Amino acid sequence: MSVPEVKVLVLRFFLQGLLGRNLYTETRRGRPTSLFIRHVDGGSNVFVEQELLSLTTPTYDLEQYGIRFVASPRHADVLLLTGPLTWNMQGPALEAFRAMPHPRCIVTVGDCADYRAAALPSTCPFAASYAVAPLPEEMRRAIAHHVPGFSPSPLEILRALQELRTICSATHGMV
Amino acid sequence: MRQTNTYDAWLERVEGFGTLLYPPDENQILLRVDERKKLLQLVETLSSPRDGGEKPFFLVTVVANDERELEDHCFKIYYVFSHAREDVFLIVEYLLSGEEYPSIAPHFPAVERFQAEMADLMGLYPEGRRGRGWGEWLHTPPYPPGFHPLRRDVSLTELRRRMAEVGDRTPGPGRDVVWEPAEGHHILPVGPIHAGLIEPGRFLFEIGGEVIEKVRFRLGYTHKGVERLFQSAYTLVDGWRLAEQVTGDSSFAHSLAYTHAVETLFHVTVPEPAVWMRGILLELERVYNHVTDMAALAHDVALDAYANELALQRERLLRLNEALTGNRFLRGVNRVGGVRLPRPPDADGLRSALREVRAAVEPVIRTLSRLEGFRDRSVNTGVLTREDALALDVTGLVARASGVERDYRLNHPWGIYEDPELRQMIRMSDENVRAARLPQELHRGDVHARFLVRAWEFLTSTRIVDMLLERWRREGVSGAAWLADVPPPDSAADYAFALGYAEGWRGDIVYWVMQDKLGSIYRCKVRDPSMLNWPALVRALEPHEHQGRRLTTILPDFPLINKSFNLSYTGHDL
Repeated sequence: MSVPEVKVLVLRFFLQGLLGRNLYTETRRGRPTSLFIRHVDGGSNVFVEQELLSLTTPTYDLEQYGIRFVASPRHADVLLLTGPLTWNMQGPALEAFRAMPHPRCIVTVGDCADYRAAALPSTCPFAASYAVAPLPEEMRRAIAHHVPGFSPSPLEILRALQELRTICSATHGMV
Repeated sequence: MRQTNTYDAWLERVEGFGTLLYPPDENQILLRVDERKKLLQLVETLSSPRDGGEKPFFLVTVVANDERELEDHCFKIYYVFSHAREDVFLIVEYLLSGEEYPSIAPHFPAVERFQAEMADLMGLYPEGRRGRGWGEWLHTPPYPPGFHPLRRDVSLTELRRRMAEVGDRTPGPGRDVVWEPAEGHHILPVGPIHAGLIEPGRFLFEIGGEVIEKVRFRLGYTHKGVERLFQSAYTLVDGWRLAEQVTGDSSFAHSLAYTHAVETLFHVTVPEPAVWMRGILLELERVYNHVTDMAALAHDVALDAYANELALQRERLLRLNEALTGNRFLRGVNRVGGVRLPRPPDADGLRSALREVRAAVEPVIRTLSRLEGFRDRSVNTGVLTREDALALDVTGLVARASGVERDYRLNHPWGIYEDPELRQMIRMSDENVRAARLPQELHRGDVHARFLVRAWEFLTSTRIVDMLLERWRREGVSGAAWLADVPPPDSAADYAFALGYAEGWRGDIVYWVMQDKLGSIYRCKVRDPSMLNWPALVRALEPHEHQGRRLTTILPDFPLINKSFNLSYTGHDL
């Protein structure tokens, strides 16, 4: 391969990298203090959702820490998953996860969403049901953090999210 | 609380359609029908207006039960109807000869939801509609065909094994039922995952410009198999643990309805302090949810200053809940036979804190109800007419906002609501509303009316709690647990059933519980008000005639209207 050919090749790769990258997330990566969250209800019974709602009220004011819930998985760093995951939600949850840009991770909230441990009926009443599905392997690998509790208080969730922000800014634990 | 005249009149009227059996409670009529023709004649009688009035009965719930191993050796469907004005329930026990049954949808369109549920979960179909167009509760894929989890001839372990077999397949997105849009219209699919912090459900809008022309929804995403868990994993005495997990925003009302059913089965009388405490807790649940919803409505019309003030008070209410019961959502205190609190309640502290909350919320809702910016978005938006509300058997606060007087605290009172003075406070009469200084627009069926009904109920519920706490102090109640002795299950009452109900903040929650051998549960049917109210949301969104005008809704108003209904997804999907 001649030198000019190599130059063209390098230039092409450089341009492809410049034009092909996801500008929105790339520019935001420059600010390691913020965390964008996409919430997915895997089929929960809304205890956790109510506490997430509490986090957005002035009492906790999640946004003052640079953490915020976003409307699309394409804007998100973190998928916040509440459980249990039902068979009917397994497909949509996976689709949402696949739509997220890299690097990305999953945080699970509540005992019913503890996918890394075997769910027991003593911690989650729905664990014994036919309707509860396993988390797909590629999502299980991306779990960076779990907030235990039944249901965890807003402060517990908030602390976990702040901790996660530190983890994510170093991009450890993100895939 | 039996209204003798109405009860006896209807007893005579329905006698000819079947066999009268001994009812589970004294305000109920139990009628066994085994002929198809008789059933259809009966529902026609129940739905046709009498004496120039309106239709006398509403459909409450439909319970499909697998009784093939019991004495009648067949599937049964129990239709539960409630009288529109008096405290009378009519339970129709219909015996199926196979797996098909005649549909009562021409007389009670609300039965459609239940039919879809029965088709999926029990494998029973309306005549001639077997096997086509179902699959909302159990989506296909991944649920295999012929998977009917509520049938008793298949064990929970077997069901789990069958699901584990399909588990390796890549999950697919659900299947949409799409129609051909009209010229110039197009179809906009939304969901199941939405932009906000809400539960999953899929909506298909046919829109012409920004006007919504047609809406179809598909739920079932949060189906967790709750009814099967009741019969396989819980006993009658501890089933309240699961009942309060059905939907997080009505956990107390669900457990109350459940314990009411079991207490009726066991003939338990609850001690008086527990009755009062249940009243307090039920009203506290209503109060915090209404404040949450009013905040959300203010937020949706971009009046965040008001929304934030209400949201602050919501947090205070949740902390009051925690101080009283040890849980922010009033979980874990209700038992069969009474109430067990973690510590003796501080009645005075609760009373003064609640008064402060009321003092902070009251000016906000009064201002909001008259504020031009709020009225602009909410008046005449998402109108559900009274006729539609009646035809669809709509219940709860949505029905009341459309001018249908349907409130189980008034129509089917038990517990604290047996007190006529208290019922007088709840009644949404003109003079009551005037005394509360709210606009007289609570019956117009629009978003504003649903906001006003919430405001009105917030004001009355805080007054009720205040009154009960005053009584609490006066009577000098002590201790933290007030529990009646629960007798061991009576084997003579095996396969007897009972109805339990409570008016939660969304509407009436109804449990139908059948006792099995050794105190376990043969069948527990949970009916959240959302089951009846989802079709009403569709009716409010689609173009319709109202007082000679054609009302249409634009797509940007959908979130506001949806919020004003605020129906439960998990309560519908169970």
